[in-house]
Amino acid sequence: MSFTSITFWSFFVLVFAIYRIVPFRIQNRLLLVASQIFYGWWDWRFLGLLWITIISDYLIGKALHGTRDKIARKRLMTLSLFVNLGILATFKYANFFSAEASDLLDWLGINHSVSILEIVLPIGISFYTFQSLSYVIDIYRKQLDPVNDLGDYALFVSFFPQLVAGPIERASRLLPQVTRPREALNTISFRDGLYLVLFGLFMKLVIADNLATIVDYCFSLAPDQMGRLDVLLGAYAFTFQIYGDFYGYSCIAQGLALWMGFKLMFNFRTPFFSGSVSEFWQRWHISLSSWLRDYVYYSFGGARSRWKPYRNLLVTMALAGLWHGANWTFVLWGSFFGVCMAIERLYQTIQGTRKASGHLWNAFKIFCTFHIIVFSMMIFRSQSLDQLVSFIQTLKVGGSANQNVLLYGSSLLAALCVPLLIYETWQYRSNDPLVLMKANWRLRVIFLLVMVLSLFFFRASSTVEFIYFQF
Amino acid sequence: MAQGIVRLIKGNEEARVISVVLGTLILLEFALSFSLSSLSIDHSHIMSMREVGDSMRLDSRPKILVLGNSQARRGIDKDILSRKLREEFGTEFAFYQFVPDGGTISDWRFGWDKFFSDGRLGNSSIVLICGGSGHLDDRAADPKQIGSNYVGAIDLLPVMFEEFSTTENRLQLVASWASLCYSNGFRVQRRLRETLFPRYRLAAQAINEQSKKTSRQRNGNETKEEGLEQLSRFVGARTNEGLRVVVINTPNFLPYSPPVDIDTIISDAGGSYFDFRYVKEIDDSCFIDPYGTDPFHLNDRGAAIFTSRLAQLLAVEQKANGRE
Repeated sequence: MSFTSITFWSFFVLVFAIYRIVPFRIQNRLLLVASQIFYGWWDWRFLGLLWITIISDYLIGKALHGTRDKIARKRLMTLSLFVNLGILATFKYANFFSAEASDLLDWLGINHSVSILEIVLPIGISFYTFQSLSYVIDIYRKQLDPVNDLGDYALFVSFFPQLVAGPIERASRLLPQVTRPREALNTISFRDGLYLVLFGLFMKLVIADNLATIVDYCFSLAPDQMGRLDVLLGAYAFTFQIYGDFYGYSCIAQGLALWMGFKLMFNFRTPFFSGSVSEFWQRWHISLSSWLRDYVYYSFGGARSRWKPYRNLLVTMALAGLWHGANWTFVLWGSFFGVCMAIERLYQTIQGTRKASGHLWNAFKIFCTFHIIVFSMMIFRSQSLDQLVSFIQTLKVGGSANQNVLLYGSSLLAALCVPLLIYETWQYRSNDPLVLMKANWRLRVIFLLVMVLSLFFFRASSTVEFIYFQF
Repeated sequence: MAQGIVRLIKGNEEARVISVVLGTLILLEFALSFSLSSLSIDHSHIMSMREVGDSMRLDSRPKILVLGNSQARRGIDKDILSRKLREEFGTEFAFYQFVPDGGTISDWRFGWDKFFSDGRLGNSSIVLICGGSGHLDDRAADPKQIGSNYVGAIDLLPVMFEEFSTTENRLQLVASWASLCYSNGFRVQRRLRETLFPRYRLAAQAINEQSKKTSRQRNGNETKEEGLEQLSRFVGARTNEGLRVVVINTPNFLPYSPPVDIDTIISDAGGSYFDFRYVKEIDDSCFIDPYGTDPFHLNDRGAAIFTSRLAQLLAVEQKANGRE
């Protein structure tokens, strides 16, 4: 059940109608049942895995809280890591590692019987695993008390608006909203929720899905047919496609949750206005980057020492890449950011307190960072390292496969993204993603009408699955 | 109550915003219901079929009904066909067309039930089913098309459950039946894109071709897997009604490759199949229109060649079946 399907909206209307009239405890049970239906709609067998995570982390959380013995606590923490990362490794990475092992043995000329596994990837596994894991780590670090009710914990892990593609919420933020009665729907939360849902649908169906056709075309051309302009068009279009796709999902999740009294975090904050790669990661997929910062980067020692921060940055970002998928291109993508961030850190260390400033310099930094991101998206979109190499080689060659597609694609990209960037400039300058809600009512009407009418009359002819479902 | 609503809208800014947006959508729905026929030739063509079907009943001449899509609409020259058949048979044929854009076997099936059933054609008629790439095969019905054009309140429920197997498609059918904005958004969209982006059609075709190529590479086979069950059932039902059915694979910019045994399937159902994909005289130049914007349909010269060949074939076909 995707957010873009009528099935989902019929389901939501039904759930929401019942939710509004039942008391708080029943609301939680209703949301839990609804979340299981929502997830089971894809494949009911994946519910088993979800519940292994839920039950094991719930019990481990309880046990951690109940013991002061350091060794026992370490063992319990290790057990949780083993269960969660074991499930993730089996279902997400086993195919990849068995294929790589087989290739390596073939290359070494060693006879082997490594069979390549064909395991189906359960949807949203990386999201709910990380969310559940953060709960156990927080209890281990004594930053959180465990929840007493399994149902409440299950709802925290499987809350349907953010179950399959985030934002990855922290227990300290979401669990209190689960366990305590929530604010009833009021005019402001209805208004903000509606804006977020409409904007999310607009980002997905109008921006991302329209650009998807151009991206698929550019990146499916054979190397001998492709020209430099095709690669460039593909890379720029994909940068906005993935942004629209993922930001769209996050906005819809936030809007739906808001209607039900939950406040989810903003997962994106005008990321293309970042003046550095480090800043980009504070504005892009914030729930993952902050998770990695708190649970991986800091666990390795963070920035405490002279040279270790560089290693920690590289390792954390390579893991961020690997989190996205079992492919070397993702590892390279993450590592590329790690290297960029390490260079930035080194530059800042050398520069010390002397800092250039001014509008022109800031604009230049934003321009450069944006193009680093566009290049990184080429790595992300490549299906293999060979394909990436061919894209880079093609950048040296001029021309384009098809002038019509190039003209149409670039004008579509401009028509969709220039207005978006103008709107985001407003958000960026006011540092408020909901700045529109504070504007004059006439302006709000115009914006809402543009979104609604575009959804009817300018959405892509075919809907593409959300990209982050595969992670 | 009305006064209460007005007070709420005046006093509450949020209510005002929502009511203006909702009001605009309702207005748009009304505006579309009045203007859709003038906005879309295709929609007006489908809507005019009820009258056409009724006038058929009064027409005593032998009839030819073409079920097709835009390729048949552009590719069959009505005057040439009528003249050639008159020369051949010495009698005037009445010529009718049901050729919605992108029409598929589902459109023809639903269109038939709605506009042409109940013996409107009479025994002496020929039904020409003309299709191109992907129009003849068992493609799943499009809920938007069916909901918007062919289904009424009474038959909505049966169609929902008999024709569609997924919840999503069933709900899309209901939404399309209920809202013109929803079901016809793509018509407005196409107009909009063609206006805003002059190269849109050509680019879309190149993108489609590339996407087909990629999916063929990924799936590793070039033969079509779809069957012709719907088509053969449709042909069988029409022949049982006493109609002569001829299935034509039209000349196409991207020729359609049907299953190899298509002629056996059609003849088993009582019809005849003719392959016009590779007519000698129809070359690439027959697909270039004077404005250079539409390389996907036959131009006037191509239509003249195709129609002449079609008339020849129909004459032979009719004579072979003893209908001189």
